[in-house]
Amino acid sequence: MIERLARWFDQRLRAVSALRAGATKVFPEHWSFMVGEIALYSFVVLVLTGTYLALFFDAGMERQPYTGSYVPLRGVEVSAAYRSALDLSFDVRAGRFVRQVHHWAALVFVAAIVVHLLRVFFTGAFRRPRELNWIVGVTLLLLAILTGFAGYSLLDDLLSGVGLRIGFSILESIPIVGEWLAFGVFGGPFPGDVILGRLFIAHVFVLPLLILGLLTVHLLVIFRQKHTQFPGELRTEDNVVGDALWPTYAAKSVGLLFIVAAVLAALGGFAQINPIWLYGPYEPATVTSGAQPDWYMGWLEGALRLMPPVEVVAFGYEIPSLFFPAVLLPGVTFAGLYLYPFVEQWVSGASRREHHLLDRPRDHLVRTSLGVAVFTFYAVLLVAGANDIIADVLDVPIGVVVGVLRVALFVLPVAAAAVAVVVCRQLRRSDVHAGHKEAVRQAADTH
Amino acid sequence: MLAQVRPLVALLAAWSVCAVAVVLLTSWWDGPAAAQTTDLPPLGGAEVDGETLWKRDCASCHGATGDGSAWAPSLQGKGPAAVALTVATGRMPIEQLAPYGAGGGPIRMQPTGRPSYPPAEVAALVAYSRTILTGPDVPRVDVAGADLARGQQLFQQNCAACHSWSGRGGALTAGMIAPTLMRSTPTQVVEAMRTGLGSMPVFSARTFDDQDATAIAAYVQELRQQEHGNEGAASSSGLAFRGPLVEGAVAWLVGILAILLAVRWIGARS
Amino acid sequence: MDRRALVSRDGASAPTAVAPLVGFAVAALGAVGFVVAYVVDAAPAAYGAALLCAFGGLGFGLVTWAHRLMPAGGRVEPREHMAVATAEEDRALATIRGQTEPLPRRRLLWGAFLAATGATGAALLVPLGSLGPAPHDALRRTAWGRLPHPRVVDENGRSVRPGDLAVGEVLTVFPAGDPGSANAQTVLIRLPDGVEVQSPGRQEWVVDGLVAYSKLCTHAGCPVGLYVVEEQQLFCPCHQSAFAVLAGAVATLGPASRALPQLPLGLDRDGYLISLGDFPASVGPGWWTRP
Repeated sequence: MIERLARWFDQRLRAVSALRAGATKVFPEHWSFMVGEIALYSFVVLVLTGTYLALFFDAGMERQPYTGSYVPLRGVEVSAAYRSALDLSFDVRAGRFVRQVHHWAALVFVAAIVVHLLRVFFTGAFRRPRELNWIVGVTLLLLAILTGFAGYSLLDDLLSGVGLRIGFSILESIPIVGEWLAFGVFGGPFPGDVILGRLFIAHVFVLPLLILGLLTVHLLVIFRQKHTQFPGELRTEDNVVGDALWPTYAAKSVGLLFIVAAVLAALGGFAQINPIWLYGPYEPATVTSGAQPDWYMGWLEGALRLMPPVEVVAFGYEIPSLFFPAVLLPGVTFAGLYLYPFVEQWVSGASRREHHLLDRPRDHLVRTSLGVAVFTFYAVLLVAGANDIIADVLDVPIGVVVGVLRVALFVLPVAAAAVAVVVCRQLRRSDVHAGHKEAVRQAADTH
Repeated sequence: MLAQVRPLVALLAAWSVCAVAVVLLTSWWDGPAAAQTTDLPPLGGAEVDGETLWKRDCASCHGATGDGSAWAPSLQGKGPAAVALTVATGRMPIEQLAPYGAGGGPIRMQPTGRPSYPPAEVAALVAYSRTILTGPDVPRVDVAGADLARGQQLFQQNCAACHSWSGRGGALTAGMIAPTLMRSTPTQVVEAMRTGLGSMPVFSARTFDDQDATAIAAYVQELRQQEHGNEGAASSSGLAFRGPLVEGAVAWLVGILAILLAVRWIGARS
Repeated sequence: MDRRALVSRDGASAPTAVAPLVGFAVAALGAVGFVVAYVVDAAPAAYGAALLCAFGGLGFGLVTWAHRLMPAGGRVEPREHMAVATAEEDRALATIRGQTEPLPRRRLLWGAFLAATGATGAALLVPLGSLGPAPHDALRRTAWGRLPHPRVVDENGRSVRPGDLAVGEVLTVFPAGDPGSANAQTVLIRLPDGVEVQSPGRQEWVVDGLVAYSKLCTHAGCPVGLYVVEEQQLFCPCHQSAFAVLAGAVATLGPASRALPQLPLGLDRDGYLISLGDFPASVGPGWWTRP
C-alpha cells in the first residue's frame, strides 16, 4: 500500500532515486549523536502543546475581576492573559496537564541543546566543513532562550512580571539607544499595555518560525555533509559506518521521539511547574523574595547578582552597572561561541583539511580544558542566580555567599581545567596500557 | 547482554540516587519537621504565677517591668502579643545570645517550633505581662469566612517580599532570615504583624484593620493547606513552592538524565 | 534481505517479537487510559501516567524492534568530501560569470540597483518608529510631579495621616490619582522616636518621624520591598542591594550604586501627608543620558 503511494508521488515528482538514496543513507549509531534529536523532538512537543494552549490563551492586558474556580483569587483584578492562564489551569479539562508538559518541554529543550553543544564542542565536530552548522546551532540556542523567556513572561504573573521590569531596565542600560529601545519594545514607559501582545506574537509566530527555518537548514546541512563518526573499526575519513536510515535508524529515531514525549508527559503529569496562582498577578509595586528566572536565564541572573556596583559616568553620559553583566556578558558569550571554530583553526594553525572523524576529548587537552573551564564559569554564575536561596537554606549571610561565589567564579574554572587535564592524561595512559595489553594479546594469539 | 546491562544498571542507580537526593533536598529545605505550634488556651488565671515566671526568665534581660536593659530592648509598645508570640514559638526565653554579623548587632531569635512552657504557664505569663506592658494584646483570630482574595492581595503587597510568594521565608541582610510561615497559626501571624518581631516591620491596626489582618492570616493557612496537599486546588506534587530553581534541577536531573539514559540504551556504545 | 543477517543484540539466536509487541500493547492501553482520564476529568497525574504508558510503550516497542529484528549497523557508505577541487570551483564560477560578463553598463546598473534597494529597504524600516513614543523626559519624572502637592495615598487610594503608621511600620504609597503607579511607587517608613535621617539638607523632608524613599531599585528597577527594621535597611530581593534608611538610602550592599531618591514630605491643612514635589533625582536604574 505504501508502495502504491510512493509510486503515485513518483509519477508526479520523479523522486524515486532520491528516495532510494535517502532510504539507504547511513547514519552513525553512537548514542551521543542522538542528543540533538532530543532537542528536535522536544521542539515537536512544544509546537504541538503550544498550538493547543494558544487556542485558549488571551494575551490582553486589560484587567477584570477573576471569576474562575480558583477560590483564593476570586474577585481579584487580573489581566486577560493571567485569567486565561488560570482558566487553562483550573477550568479547561486537561489544560493544566498540557500547560505543564509545555513548560517542562521548554526546560528540557534548552537543556538538550546545551548537552548537544557540549558534545559537538568536546568532539570537535564543529571543525571544517561544519562551521556553518555550528553557527546555525548557536543561533538556535539563542532563539530557544529568547522564546522561552517570551513564553513564561506571557502569563503576567508576579515572578515573570518582575523579570520583564528587569528586562526593561536592561534595554534602558544600552548606551545611546537604550531609552529608545526600551520605550520602543514596551510601547512607552514600563509596563505599558502592549508588551504581552508583542511577546505573544514573538513567542508563537516570529521566533518559532525562525527556529523551524534554522532547524531545517541544520538538518539539511547534516544530510548533505553526512554525520561525523568516532574513529574505530572500518571507520575512515572517507566513509560513514552505521545504520541505514530505513528501517533501523528511522525506527530508533522515532522511538526516541516517543520516549522524549513519554518523559515530558510524565513530568507534565506528576510534577507541578510554574504555579502562577501562587505567585499572584503582576503588580508593579509588589515583589517576592526567592525570585529566579527559568534555569537557562539563571547564568544571567547570577551575573547581575555578583557584579559589583560599577558605573561609568563621563562627559555627561552614563553606562549603568547593569549594562556589563546584562548586555556585555551575553554579547561576549555568544560572540565567543560563534567565533570559536575560527579561532581554534587560526590558533592551532590547522591545515585546511576536512574532518569527518571526531576527536576524543582526551586527545585534545587544550580544547577540553578550555571547554571545561568556560562551562564551569557559567555553572558558577547559574548557581549564583540562587544566592538568596542558598543563604536561606545554608543559614549563611548573603554577603558571604556573594563573596565566596565571586572568588569561585575565577578560581573554580581554573581548578576544573586542571582536573580535566589530569583526567585526560590518566585516560590516555590507560589507553596506552590497553593498547599495549591488546598488542601483547595479539602477539600471544599468533604464537 | 550482561556486559551491556551493567553500565546501564550503574547509570540507573546513579540517576535514582540523584532523583532521591533532589526529593530529599526539597523536603529538607523546609527544615526538620517541627511540632505543630498551637494557639494559646483561653486566657485567665492559672495555678502558676506569671509574675514568678517573669522575674525568673524575662526580667534579667528585659527588666522587671519590661522596660529593657543593656541586654535586651524595652517591650513597651510590643504588648502581651509579643510575649505570647515569642514564647509560643520557642523564641523566648532565648537559649543563646547569638548576635548577628560580627557581634554588637541585634540578637537573633531562633524559633524552635515548640512553646517554651506548657500552655497554662504561657497563659499566666501573658496575663502578667498585660499588667506591665503597653501595646497590642493577644488577638482573637477566626479565619472562617475570611476574604481569601483580599488576603492574597495584601500578602503579595506586604509579605511576599520577605517571606516569599510561597510563605517559606527568605534571606535578609546581616545574616538574618525571614522565617517560614508554614508552621504559623493564624493568631501567630496576626501577633507578628501587630508587634513587629525582630526585624519584621509593624503592620498596625490603623493601616491594616482586623479584617485585613485576619484575611492575611487566612491566606497563610491556605498556603499551608496547599503545601500539605490536602484539598489544595492545584498541587499535584511536592514541587509546589519551590520555584524555577528546583524546576530547573528537576528538568536536568530527572528529565534530561532519563532521556540520556534512554539514548544510551538506543544507540551504540562505541 | 537475508534473515541470517539479523542478529539480536545479545547474540542469542531466534530474535522474537515479544518485546515490541508488549510495548505496543502497553501503548494501546495507555491511549485508552488517556481517553478515560479525560472523560472523568482526572488530575494531571492520570494524564501523565496514561501518556507515559502510551508514548513509552510506542518508544520501547520501536526501539526493541530495531534492536532485535532490524539489521544492526555495520553498513558502510562512501563519503564525498565537501571541498571540491579548486579547478572545478573556478570552472563553475567562470560559467556563471560568463552569463553576465558581456552585458553593457553592467557595473553602473548593478551599483544603482543595489543603492536603490538599500534605500528602499532602509525606508521600509522607518514605521518601526511607531512601536513606541519618544522617551523625552519620561524617565526623569514620576507621577508625583503631575499635580502640585498631591496627597500621599496607599494602594487603595486612601489618604495617609502620620498617625496611621506605628514605629517600625512600612507602607507602600503613591500620589493621589495614581495608586499603583509603576514609577511613582514609594516606601513610607516611621522611624523610631528621636532617630534622625542623615541626609544633608533633607531634614525638612521628614515629617513626624516619617521618611519616604522611591521604591524603585536603582539597579534593575525591582520594588525594594524588604524593610529590615533592626538594621534600618531597605533590601531589594532581586539582586540583593541594600540601602541605608538613616543615611538617605545610599546603596551599601549589592550591585546598586545610587541611592534611592527621597520624597519631600509635608502636611496639608487637614493633617494628611502630602508630597511637596517630585523626587529630586530620577528614580530607578540609569541610562545613557540620565541627568
